[in-house]
Amino acid sequence: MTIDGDGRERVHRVKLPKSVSFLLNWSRKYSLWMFQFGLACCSIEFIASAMPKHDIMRLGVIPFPASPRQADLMVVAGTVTDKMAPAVKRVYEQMPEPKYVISMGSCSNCGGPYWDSYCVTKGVDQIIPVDVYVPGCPPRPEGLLYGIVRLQNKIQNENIPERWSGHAAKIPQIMGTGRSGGI
Amino acid sequence: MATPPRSLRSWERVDPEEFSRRVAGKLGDAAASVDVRNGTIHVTLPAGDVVGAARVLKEDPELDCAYFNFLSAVDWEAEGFEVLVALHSLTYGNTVIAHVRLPAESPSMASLTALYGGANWHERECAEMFGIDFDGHPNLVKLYLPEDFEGYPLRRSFKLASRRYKAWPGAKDEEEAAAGGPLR
Amino acid sequence: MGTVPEDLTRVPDLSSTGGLHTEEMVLNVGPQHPATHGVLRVLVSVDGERIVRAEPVIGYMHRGHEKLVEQRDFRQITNLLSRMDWLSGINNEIPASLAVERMLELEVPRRAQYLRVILAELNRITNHLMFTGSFGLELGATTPVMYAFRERELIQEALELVTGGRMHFGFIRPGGLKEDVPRGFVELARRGVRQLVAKIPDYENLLMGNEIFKQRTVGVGRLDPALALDHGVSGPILRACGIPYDIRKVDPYLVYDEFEFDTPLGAQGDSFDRFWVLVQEMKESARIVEQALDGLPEGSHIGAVPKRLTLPKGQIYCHAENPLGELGYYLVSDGGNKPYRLKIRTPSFSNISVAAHMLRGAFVPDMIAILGSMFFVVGDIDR
Repeated sequence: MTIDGDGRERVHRVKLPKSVSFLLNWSRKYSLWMFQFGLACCSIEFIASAMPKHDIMRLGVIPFPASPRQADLMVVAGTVTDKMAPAVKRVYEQMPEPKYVISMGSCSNCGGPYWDSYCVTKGVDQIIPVDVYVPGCPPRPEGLLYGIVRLQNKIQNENIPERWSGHAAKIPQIMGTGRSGGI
Repeated sequence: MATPPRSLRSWERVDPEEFSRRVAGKLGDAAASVDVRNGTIHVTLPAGDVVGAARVLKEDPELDCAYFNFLSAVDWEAEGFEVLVALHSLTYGNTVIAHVRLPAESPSMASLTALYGGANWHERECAEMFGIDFDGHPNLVKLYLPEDFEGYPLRRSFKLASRRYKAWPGAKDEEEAAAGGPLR
Repeated sequence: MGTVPEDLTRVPDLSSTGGLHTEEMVLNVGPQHPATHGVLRVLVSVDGERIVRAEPVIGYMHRGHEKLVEQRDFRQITNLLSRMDWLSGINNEIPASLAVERMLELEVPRRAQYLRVILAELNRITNHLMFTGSFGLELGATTPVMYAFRERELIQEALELVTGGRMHFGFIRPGGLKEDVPRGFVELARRGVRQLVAKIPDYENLLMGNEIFKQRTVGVGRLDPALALDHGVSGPILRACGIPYDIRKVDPYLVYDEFEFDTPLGAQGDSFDRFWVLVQEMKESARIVEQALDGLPEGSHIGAVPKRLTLPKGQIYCHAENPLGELGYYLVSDGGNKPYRLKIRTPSFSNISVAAHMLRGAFVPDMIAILGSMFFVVGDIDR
């Protein structure tokens, strides 16, 4: 359902057969191209999860794309500062639909240990919509792997028509410009 | 490469007490006080001729403080600012920290960039964090903070907004808990 | 058509414009870039393939550590400080505890000192392994990073057994350590270190023995020693220029003066030398760990520390040899239980301030080789 311009709810007439949506979701969840947006410490655990011991590639997350324009999944790993926030938003906008975001680590979840800093964006969900939050400081590589599995479940259960039609309404508004401090 | 600096040729360790006597002797009246605390030599310089004193420290072959460690400041609120310039003498194995007192209103000091190239970034950081002006710096623009940032974060008068609205829930002592949050 | 115009028959050489109108182009590298370690932005002006001017733009990871530690007491600051140079958590915490111990004149038991050295050196090894792998990756070699992480995981297991963390430990307390090491740590640490020493020849052959690697790094990014001193460069980068400044030797802290280890020195200060020094330092760290494990004394893991840590009024400068260079804390205390001012002197800040000079005149493809060999962590630059 979407809310149209007059504020009325409209139920969609388009219905995808279950097998088609299953196939589309299944193929998408097992071929995620993960854009490496490692900012800080979490990026090291992110790299460790791609290494032979934890091996993120067995979940289908290969290869690492050369640019955001080819990526499906953005993992924001690390603290998002106010100076970096516009770049994060720009990179997110460069990704084509359907795109997913995993927020890895407590800094990008909610500001983390820098909750009282004057130049940190308290959570990347203030700028872009997040699908899965992986807690930890830093999360273990197994934690990131679990986060990706949860995302894959989410993708599997996605309702494709709803996602494609009502999507624009789901992006949260930017809450605050990120300038916190200096009152 | 021109003649390599002394620091590269030979090192001879000197006791901090002896080195502080050397520093006091070479600087003479230029230094308000020289003393040794915890193994480092602390020199108090008047704001007037910091560059001259730093030049003596760097170029005198018996001091040879050619290694620029850091430059920063401490905000003493009403009493003004204290700029710290830390130099190492690798040749003689000692650290010299110069203290320069500046007034609280429009603090300003001569830049050390002509003497030490490394002072460039340190002075930029000090300027944006404390609002201290460095006279003669080639490019005193913001280093860390976004362009539109207002205020000088490391001044004591700059309060963190998040702490104004939400005291840290894990107050450690009874005093802090009774006061409803951290005392500072 | 007629004859080809005369201009086109002449091949223009690199330095002359030969009638061609050339313009400088500003190339923006970063802040998001696969090859810069984290969010470092470099504004590069290029004339053809040569870099005319390069300016690192930092601050994309500035989180305000120096302000935040003023709101936390002396035990809580170690958690924040560990996150600056995120590859060397233990080494970041050590000088903070040393500063408190020196001001309070606290006695630290010998067992705690030995264990601190072991943990610090293991951390140094994991840090150097990371850069060994990533430098190869930036130059195009994808295998060394897999090998490096294999060893790294083994050593991280040892660190995790003791501290519970893989990266940010929060284990060093004023007066000693948080807890004593459990059973099995000595064996695990020894195994990790022995495997590393056995595998280091692999890294040396894979990378330093590789002709392509040598052509890309020998003679590239030479750092003049006088310039290095002027900018406060420290760590493996300074030692690659031939200056033997290692705080563990020059101003020993903990119990480093009881161990035998060498200071590898480079000759030319180019990228190859910096990398070579890094690999040799891993061997020296392994030596220190073996000696410390052999001589580990019995005793307590922490000294007598007051319940409420209040420092007397005063100022102290405490520095230590971080894997990347000199980490110094200038602590100003006003008699409370929180720092009045903590100036953090980080190695990568000074090391990168000299990058602008090193990149000038280099070719564009060498830029990544030079930046990769500068071994910085952006959290350390920006704090």
